Amino acid sequence: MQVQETFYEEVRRKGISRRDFLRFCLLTTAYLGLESTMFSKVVRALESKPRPPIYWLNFAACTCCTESLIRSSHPLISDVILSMISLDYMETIQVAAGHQAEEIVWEGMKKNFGNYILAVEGSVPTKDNGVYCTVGGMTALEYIKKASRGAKAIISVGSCSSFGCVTTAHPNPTGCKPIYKIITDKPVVNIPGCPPIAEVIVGTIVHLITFDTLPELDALKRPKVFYGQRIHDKCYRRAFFDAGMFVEKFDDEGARKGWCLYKVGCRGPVTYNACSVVKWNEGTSFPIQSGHPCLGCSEPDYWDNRPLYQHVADVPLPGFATADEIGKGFAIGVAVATGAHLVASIVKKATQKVKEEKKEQKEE
Amino acid sequence: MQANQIYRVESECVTRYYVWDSVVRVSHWINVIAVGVLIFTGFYISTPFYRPTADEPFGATVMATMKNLHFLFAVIFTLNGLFRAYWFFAGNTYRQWFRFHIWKADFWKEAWWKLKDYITLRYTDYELHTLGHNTLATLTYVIVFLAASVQGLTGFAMAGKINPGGFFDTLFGWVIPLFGGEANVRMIHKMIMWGIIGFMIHHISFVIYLEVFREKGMLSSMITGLKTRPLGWEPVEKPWEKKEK
Repeated sequence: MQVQETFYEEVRRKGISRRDFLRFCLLTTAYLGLESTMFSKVVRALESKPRPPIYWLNFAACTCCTESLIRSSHPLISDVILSMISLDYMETIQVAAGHQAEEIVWEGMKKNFGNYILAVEGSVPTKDNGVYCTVGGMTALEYIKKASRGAKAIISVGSCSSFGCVTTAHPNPTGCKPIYKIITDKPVVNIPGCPPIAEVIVGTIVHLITFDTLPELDALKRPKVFYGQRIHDKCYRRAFFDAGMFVEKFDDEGARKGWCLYKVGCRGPVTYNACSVVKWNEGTSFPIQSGHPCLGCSEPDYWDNRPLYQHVADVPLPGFATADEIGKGFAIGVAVATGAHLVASIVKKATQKVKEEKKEQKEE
Repeated sequence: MQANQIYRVESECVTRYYVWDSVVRVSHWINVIAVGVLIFTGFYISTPFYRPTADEPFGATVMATMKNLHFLFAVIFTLNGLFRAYWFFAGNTYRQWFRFHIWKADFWKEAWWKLKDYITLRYTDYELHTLGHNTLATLTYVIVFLAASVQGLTGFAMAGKINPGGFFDTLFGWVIPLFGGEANVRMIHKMIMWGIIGFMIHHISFVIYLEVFREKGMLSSMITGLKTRPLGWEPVEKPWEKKEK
């Protein structure tokens, strides 16, 4: 049996110099939010540990997460990462197809039982025994249950598999569910986003293989390094927010000058992601930088909180009214009821007085 | 001053009772100021209606000031509320814990009777303790207090996320996943604000009415501490039971 190559051997074979390798390690250490003393640990891990195989499964999703991952244009990240994580199965980019491809998966999983990592893109339909999504003759539900048996960890890539995105949006006709609701006996990492940032996906995977543990997760199972802070708190337009200078309409003077997009429904203040720090496409830009409000794509139920160009607090509750309308209705209701009660009380007292006076007059 | 004593002053035409001690009065007016500032700044943060006439963001700090004020008065409101919660148990003879026995049937009988009494426009004076609060009022204030607590939890949870892992985040960070994301936390914060506004409308118009038309000293008692009853007024024990007979 062939001994598995380490990451370092692989990159050297592919003609990448040690200098570039170290640079990659340093960058990765920084992306993971680790202190610089951990640099040597990252290097040692990538030099000595065999590359754990990763199986990338596509279920009910639009493949935008794959697009995001393969378009990460850091030369080191895109080339090296794809070989680094030993991506043994990924429908979108693999050469094999049909029976051949399916054979690779199940044989590989058997061989690496207990050691491989599953990266799942897309949620899993559960209604009618999950017939709405089938891969290789199996429903996605059967597939994920079978594949997860020998997995070391599962990475839910994208909002679909983390929280449920378009696929689980109301009325959810196929009964789609995010992965963590289906697989409960394996460690699951959620990397929400529609799609998530390539460096975030990669960073999480690198953390997993470097330290053999999950990165520190928050209550929604997201890596704290990337999802610990609001987009708003690191936004470069924050100065305009603090000053009170807002874009009122998409084509006004403020929009041209790059003011804060809070009033056109930017959800940066309630969205936890690394967009304003890591940015997209080699750190070129992110939605707010290009003048578009944040849609909050990495938050739970983001697709149900339509219309997207409004704050969730201003979005009507299903078939009802907005929080403000309900609140105003309540306040007005209280005011009317109180007013009516008070007027009635005053009238009653006045009429009583008149009656008493009449009585007194009669007695006189 | 001893806690369980009733202080009474009789003038020519009315009897006055010393009901609200200085702690209650001071904390009440701190609440008035804090809630006023919180609602105003909260409205601004939710929908910024004023824009400074500046071309560049330096120098102007309208939103930042509003947020800081909101946070500052939230802290004041919370500390005041915590102390007031302690006074719920430790105040004078009209302290509300004294009557907040929700496990007793009498509590609910009184509340129900009082509700009917209000709706039929009678405003009956009965037991001595109702100089402070009858049980219906106590119940209302406890609900308002709980609503304010939810405001505190949700508000500090959102504020704490500025510094993840910091003091406020450690204490209140769990609130955000509880409601499924910060967006929902904001919505709840907003809705409860409206609930508190509704309470305020009722509260303010009623104390003015009772002060002006019923001469019970409801409004002025928050300044003087004295509530008024007619001369020669005698407390009635458990009026809801007598009616049934």
